[in-house]
Parts: sequence; structure tokens; C-alpha cells
Amino acid sequence: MSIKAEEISALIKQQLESYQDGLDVSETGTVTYIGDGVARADGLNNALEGELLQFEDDKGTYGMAQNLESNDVGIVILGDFTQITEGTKVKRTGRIMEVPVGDELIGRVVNPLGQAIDGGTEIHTTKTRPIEHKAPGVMDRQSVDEPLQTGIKAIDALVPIGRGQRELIIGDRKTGKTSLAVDTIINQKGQDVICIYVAIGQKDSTVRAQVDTLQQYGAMDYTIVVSAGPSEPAPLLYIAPYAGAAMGEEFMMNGKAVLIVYDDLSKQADAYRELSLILRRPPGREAYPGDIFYTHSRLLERAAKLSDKLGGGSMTALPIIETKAGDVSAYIPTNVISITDGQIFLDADSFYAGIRPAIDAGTSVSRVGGDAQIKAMKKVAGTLRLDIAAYKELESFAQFGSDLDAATQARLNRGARTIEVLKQGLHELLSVQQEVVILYALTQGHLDKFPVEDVLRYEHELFAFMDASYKQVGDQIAETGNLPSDSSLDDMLNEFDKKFVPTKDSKAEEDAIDSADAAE
Amino acid sequence: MSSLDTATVAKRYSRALFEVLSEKDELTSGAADLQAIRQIFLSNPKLGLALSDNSLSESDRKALLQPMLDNASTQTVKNFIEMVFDYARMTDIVAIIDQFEILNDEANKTVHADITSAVPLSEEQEQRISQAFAKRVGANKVILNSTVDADILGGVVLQSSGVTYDGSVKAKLNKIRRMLLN
Repeated sequence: MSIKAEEISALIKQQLESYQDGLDVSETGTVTYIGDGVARADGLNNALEGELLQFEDDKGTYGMAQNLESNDVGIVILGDFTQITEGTKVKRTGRIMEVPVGDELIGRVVNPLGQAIDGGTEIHTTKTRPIEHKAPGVMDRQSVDEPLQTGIKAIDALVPIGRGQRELIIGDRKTGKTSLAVDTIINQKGQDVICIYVAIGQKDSTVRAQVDTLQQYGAMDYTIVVSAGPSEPAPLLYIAPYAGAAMGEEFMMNGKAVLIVYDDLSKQADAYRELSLILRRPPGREAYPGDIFYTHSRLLERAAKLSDKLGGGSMTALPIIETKAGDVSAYIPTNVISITDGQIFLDADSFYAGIRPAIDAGTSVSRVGGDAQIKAMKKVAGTLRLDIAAYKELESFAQFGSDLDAATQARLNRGARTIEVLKQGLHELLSVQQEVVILYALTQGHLDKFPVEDVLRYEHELFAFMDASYKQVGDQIAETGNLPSDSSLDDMLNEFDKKFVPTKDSKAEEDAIDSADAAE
Repeated sequence: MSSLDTATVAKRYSRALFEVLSEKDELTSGAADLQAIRQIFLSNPKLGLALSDNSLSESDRKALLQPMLDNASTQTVKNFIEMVFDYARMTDIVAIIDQFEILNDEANKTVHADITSAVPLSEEQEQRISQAFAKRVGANKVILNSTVDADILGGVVLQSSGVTYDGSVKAKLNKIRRMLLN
């Protein structure tokens, strides 16, 4: 990149011309304590809670007023604090913390202050929004009734998510929480949904990998990534989700659908705990401060489906919480479970048993999503949850022997195939009509004829067959949201069943040989 | 319960002292007494520590206190010194008097201002600044405390009760620098 000297001097000239001379009047205080990303300052008698303050060091570092006490003010420092010393002056700005918002951010990776960190050009937006903003009120909302398709069979069938809902993704480390969220973002392609991925305390290398994935699938065209890495000071981690929410709200208020992923709120809670302890606020349960519940509730309340009067925009929130050894009764998980409209619980054991996504059908629920399923999906997925529950119950018995009556055996067979159907590879996302068709095939018993190992192959070949010969079936489901009124769906499945060649059941043969040997 | 910090102590004692003095209409003479005491403590930084040092006998410490009591013209100030001594707050007495000054100034509409300039200011310049400032904040009297700091390059910086009026060349250059860097 070459920069011409004339260009620079022209730019400087332009900026110097716009410089306004005037007396700089500001209410100032003096730093009396500095350490751990927190400063205390004398003076600043009229500072407001959450007000942006500026330190008079070389960089003009910003801080946020947090503790207003009778004798001093506790300030969290948003940025480099190495040049701030005792005695540094700090002045009020009279502004509440704001971030840039608007279309210019789409496709970019930014820090919680809205500055580009993807090495691209500087971001100049025409608008800003305060990061803390009151959530839409009762009359500003309407009920959630539009589905947000994740492209993941297990979620769309069992725990459907509606636009404007808050669905928690919870599970141990390395159980596929982030993958689930990233896949959901990828599946929003062409759905006119703006996605915001807020990475809080995630390794920079991980964030880089996620951005690469999103780019690879063309998802960065409608996605903003907000990242506060582990090397940033705790205050930046704390404000990151609010900054992301402010960016999302701007689109929501303009009638757009927004999907925002907070990955993850446990780390934000940890950052806020650190901040609060250093500010000497009294510690509560697990040493979290007293307002940790409000920290999360006011954030998640900002997800909404706006009334038509306000443009009908929506913001769907997918907060992520990491549990330790599957303990959902810890403080932060119980808090966030009670705030959200349902949770997707990822089970480590299932994950290592190869059931991926490792969604625990028993404990995962969606409290509003049912209204946001298309009718066809409701029909085929209605009994799924019960089937799985019944299967899990019988499964343990079945291990003891094969003397089972036909009905039980049938139930076991169906269960095994259900579990198999709900498996899905990473980034292998399905359209809603594909999901409906395969679940229909399952519930109508088309899969019972074939061995369990063939289920995934059956699924792939069925979709290829549908695209080639029965495209109208899928289109009809997608357009009307209902199952086809004629018998075209059944016809298609019957025809495909005849064509499908099951793999030779090598295990059955071996069994036969073994029993023959035993008989001899 | 942790012990109170100096600022909190100063606020409480000074308010009480101010109220008693204003009830008895002794504010002017009391303030002068307190100013003298403040000077003593400032010129002998270890006096406060010595007076609250328990390893010295009480009679010795009382003897140290005696000249101050004799010099105080108002009974209230005498009582005040003895009370502060009894409650072992002698180390905080300067802060208490400073806080009292703030209350007293508020009542008299007097404003203290620290003024910094690059070159020494003439009598007339100071006069004009204090008049302009008095008009701006609506005060009756402005007490200027001027210092010279070549670092600010030029212009004047005025600081008063937590507000800075920065008209220095240094601040302007900083502003331009930030503007160009961003």
C-alpha cells in the first residue's frame, strides 16, 4: 500500500481547518488509586452511573463510572491502563457509552467499542447507540410466531426456535455448543436475517477459525462478529454482549430479523465478578456480585419480537453457558435457565458416544417455539419426544436379552432409527422440507425395513432422489408449510424404498455362522 | 467494621463544627483560629502523629496541645480541639479544617481557584482573571493561588472545585494531536 505525501498533507490540512479553538471546560477528578483495570478518583461529584470518562493521558483512554460513592468514584478502564498513574486527571464527557451501529458493520470483526480488528479499513458509521438500553416494553411486543430454522433436525423438530425467542445453549466444554450456534448462523443464508456473533473471552485463534468457517460458507455477508479476547481487560468482556445487543437493536428497530449469539455468558459473568470484586462490591453466592442476575436479565430482555406498529423486527438471542461436569444447578446456569424461554442441553456422554449434535431430548425444551413451527413439522415431530423417551426407558432392559414381544421390539427398532435420524454432521445443514420428509419417512415406518447403519445413507440418497424426481414435493412443503394434500409424498417414499439397496448385513451373517458353529 | 476513612471523618466533624460556629455567630473569628491551627500542623507534619501516639503519656501530649488552646480566641474552637484530641482524631485535623473551609467558603460565596500559567502573571492580569471568574460562577470573592508551569507552553489553566477551565497551548496541541492520530 502506498500513501502519497500530498494526500496526507491534504488530510491534515482538512482536519486542522475543522479544529475549533475554545476554552476547554470540564469537570475533572484526580486518580487516587489505579490497579487491575480499575481506577478510583476524587472529585467528579456530578458523574453519572455508567457515564463515559476520559483520562488525560497521552492516548485519551476512556473509562466508565461504576461506583459512585460519597468520597470517590470507581472507574473501570476500557483499554490500555499502563499510562494512567496516580494523579492523572480524569474528566467527564457527559455521554453514556455508545457503539457505532449500522450496515457498515456487516461482514466485519470488531471489538466491543466497535473498532475494526480484522485488519480491514476503519469503520465509519453515521449512527451510534448507547450500549445500555431499556428493552422494548409490553405493548411494543407481539408473540413469537415465525420460525427461525436452524437447519439442524434435532432442534427444529424437538426444540424449535422462533424469531424473537431467547433459547439457551448449555453444556460442558467441548460438547458442540459453539458449532451449534455457528451452524445456525450459516443456515440463515438467504433468509434475510442479520447475525451477530459475540465472542466473549474466546481464544483469538478460535474466533479466527469461526470467522474462517463463516467466510467459507458465505455467512460473513450478513454477519457481524464482536470479539473481546481473553487478553482484553475485564471491563471490555463485560460490555461486549451489551455492545452486540446495541448493534442488533438498530437492525431490529428498522424492521429486520436479527440473530445474536452470546458465546459465552459464563465468561462474561466471570469478568463481571472480577470487576465487582476489584471495585470492592460485596461478594454473594459463588463470589458473584448481587446484581449478576440483573446483568443477564436486562441483556436477554432486549431480545424481542416487535409489534407490527414498530416494524415487526425481531432479535433472537442464543446465549451460551458452559457447565462444569454437567452441573446445571450452579448459580449462573440456573439464573440464565430461568431467564430464557427454554434451553438446549448438550450431553457430554452422548457426544462421546457419537450422537452429534448431542442434544438431550429429555431436558431440552422450548417454551414458545411450538407456535413457531410450520404445520408440516408439527405433524411429523409431534410424537418424536415421546418415542425417544420410551426408547431410552426400554433400551436398558433390552440389553439383558432378546426375549421381547413384538411390540417392544418394534418400539426399540423405531427408537434406534430415531436416534440415528437425529444425528447430523457438522455444517451439513438441511432445509425445512428435507427435515420434514426424513422425519415423515421415520414416523411412517419406512426406515424400519432397513438396518440402522443404513439410515444416514438412506437419508442422503432420498434427498438426492427427491431433488431429481420429486422436486415438487419439497417445494410444496416449503411454500404451503403443510404436508402435500395428495399422496405424492407417500408415492415418492414407496418408490424410493424399492430402489434403495441396503448394505449386506455382514453382522447378521457372522451371527448366523457363529450359531451354526455353536450347534456343531 | 473497618475504621472510617479520613474523608468521611472530615465531613462529619467539619459539618458539626460549622453549624455550632454559625449558631454562635463566631464564624469569622473561628475561621481565623482554625486557619492558624492548620498552619501549625502543616509546618510540623509530625505533630498530628505525636498527639495521637499512645506511647507518649497523656500529660505530655496535653502539654503539647496547651499553646494551641491558649491562642484560640473562641471557646468553640477550644472545645473542638479538645474533643478531637479525646477521640484520637488529631491526625485528621487538617482534613477536617480543610473541609470546614469548603463549607465556610460556600456560605461566604468565596471561591478558591488554582491558576497555572507559563509565565508569571502581573497583578493586573490576576485581577482581571479573578473578576471574570467571579462573574462566571457568581461568587463574591475569588482567592487565586497562582503557580508557574512552563510545561503548559502558554495560556492559562484554572482549576476550581473539581472543574478545569483549560486554555493552555499544551491542551490545544494535545487535542490536535489526537484529532490527527484518529
